[in-house]
Amino acid sequence: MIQRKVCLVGDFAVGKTSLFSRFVYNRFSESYMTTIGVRLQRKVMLVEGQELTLILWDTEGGQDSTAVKRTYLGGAGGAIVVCDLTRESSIRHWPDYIQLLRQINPTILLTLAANKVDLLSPTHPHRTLAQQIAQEAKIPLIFTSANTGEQVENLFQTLAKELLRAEVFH
Amino acid sequence: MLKYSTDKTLVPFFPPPEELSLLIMGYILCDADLKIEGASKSAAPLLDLPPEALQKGQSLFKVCLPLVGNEAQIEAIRAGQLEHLLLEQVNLERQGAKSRYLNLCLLLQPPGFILLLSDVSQASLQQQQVCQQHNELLLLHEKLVLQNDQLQSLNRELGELSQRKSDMLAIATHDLRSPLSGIIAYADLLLDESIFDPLTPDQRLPIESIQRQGKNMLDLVDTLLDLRRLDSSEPQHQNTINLDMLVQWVIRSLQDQAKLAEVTVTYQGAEQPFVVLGDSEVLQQAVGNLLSNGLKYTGRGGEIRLRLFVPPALPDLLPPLDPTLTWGCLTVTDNGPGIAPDDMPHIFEPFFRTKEVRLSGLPGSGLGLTIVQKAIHQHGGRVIAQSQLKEGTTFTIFLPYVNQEAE
Repeated sequence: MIQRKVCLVGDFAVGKTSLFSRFVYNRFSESYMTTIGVRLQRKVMLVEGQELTLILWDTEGGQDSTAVKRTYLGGAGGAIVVCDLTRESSIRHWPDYIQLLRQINPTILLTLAANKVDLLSPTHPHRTLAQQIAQEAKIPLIFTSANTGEQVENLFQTLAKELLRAEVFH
Repeated sequence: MLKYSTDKTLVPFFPPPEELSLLIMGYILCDADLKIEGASKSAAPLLDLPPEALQKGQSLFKVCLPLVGNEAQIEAIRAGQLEHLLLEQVNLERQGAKSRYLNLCLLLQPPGFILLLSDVSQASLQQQQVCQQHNELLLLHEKLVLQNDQLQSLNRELGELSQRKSDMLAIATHDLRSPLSGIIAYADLLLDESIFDPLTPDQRLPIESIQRQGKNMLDLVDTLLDLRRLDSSEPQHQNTINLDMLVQWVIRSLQDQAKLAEVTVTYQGAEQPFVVLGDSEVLQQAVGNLLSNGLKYTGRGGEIRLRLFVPPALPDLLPPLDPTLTWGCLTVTDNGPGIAPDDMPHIFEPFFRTKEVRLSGLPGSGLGLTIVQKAIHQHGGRVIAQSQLKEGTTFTIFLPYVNQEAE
């Protein structure tokens, strides 16, 4: 059975734990609870007919990428970089997280999660900003809402498919 | 450097790494392939596992989720390239159960490894509370900054809109002025018996009405243009003005109106020179508006008293008057009918006229006091009103003055 470590990183209060909880337990809490250290959970997925176990590392967020504990990121096959679409700074910090993750593991597979999409109008400029950064970094971008569950499954499926493809290629 | 015991007993010899200054609460010993050799009794409960889960020969990766994915680091430890693998504050999520935070440290314990476990839940939960408050404050701060930016942007937009409105008003009023002057001039001409034959009363009445209404409209247009001029935050001209002389000039200019209204106007000047910086035309208009309002509404036999003086103490106003400046006062007090308390908060609003004034049929635009307030604010001053029904009204103007003689 294929197992892969996947980290969720991003600024504090962007919704990493909410995405984690929505995906693992299909639940959402309105109240904000700061994550300390790292929260771990295993999730078995069926991806294109194949079983894949993700070891999810929901890491503590800080004001920017410098707050991330590098020891958490070691050995990760993939990572989801999360932002809060309503907070521009959390989108603008994406390149720093991407750089950090690639510095630790140059072959890491990444997906960008632009979270809290339910709080933004369809024409909000933050969407464009997120798309621009994703295009420049050549990383898949998914607009998610942990609150409504919108695109959360797709987010993890997208990364899981990439992980499997990399496994086959490897 | 770490020193390891070569003794195969279960207790290793450490001076542990600095970051490992923690209370070790459990351990698991493994062989070189990370197969369990033995464990302390506390290890299984710490990892939320039944005791039999840590049986000899079991793979450490199967019982310790955080190690999965860290194979490269473990290999580096084995090769002596890495001292240890330390994972701090790992929350092995247990649905519905209280969070438990563990510090895990994997070290060489030749010929195998030892995994040290310590429960750091108490410290982590305290840290969680502190971080929670810190992050909530940061979020609040971010929101405030954002709202502030939005307010500033809205304020800019409002300023631009207000400017555009003022410009349009200025253009409209200016364009109205010329045809109105023409209408009044032709009405004057028609009524001039030295040019035309005398008009019959039936002819005269409507032309006089055109003349009167035209003059009223022209007054309104002039007032609107005055208001526009007062929209800027500072006076257009900055001259030194002797306020005592200015008040006397205003009283003289309204002498005929006072006689006509049969109102007595008295004035008590300042004992010392009272010089302000500003636009004399604007201040004349402000004082003139207060006095002409008094003349209009006080009624026959009434009295208006003007007094210029340095107040012994500054009144409590919101926002307060700057105590670092020297303030002078001009009061205009009449013994007219007074203003109803319900009307008092609105008297400086544009186009506001009290019910009594509207019913009296006296002409007026309701802009006189607005102009007074704007003019005084433009000069860094303040105007307040106090009134008692059937007793009269006092308007008090506060202006900062400079200690020099007016030219």
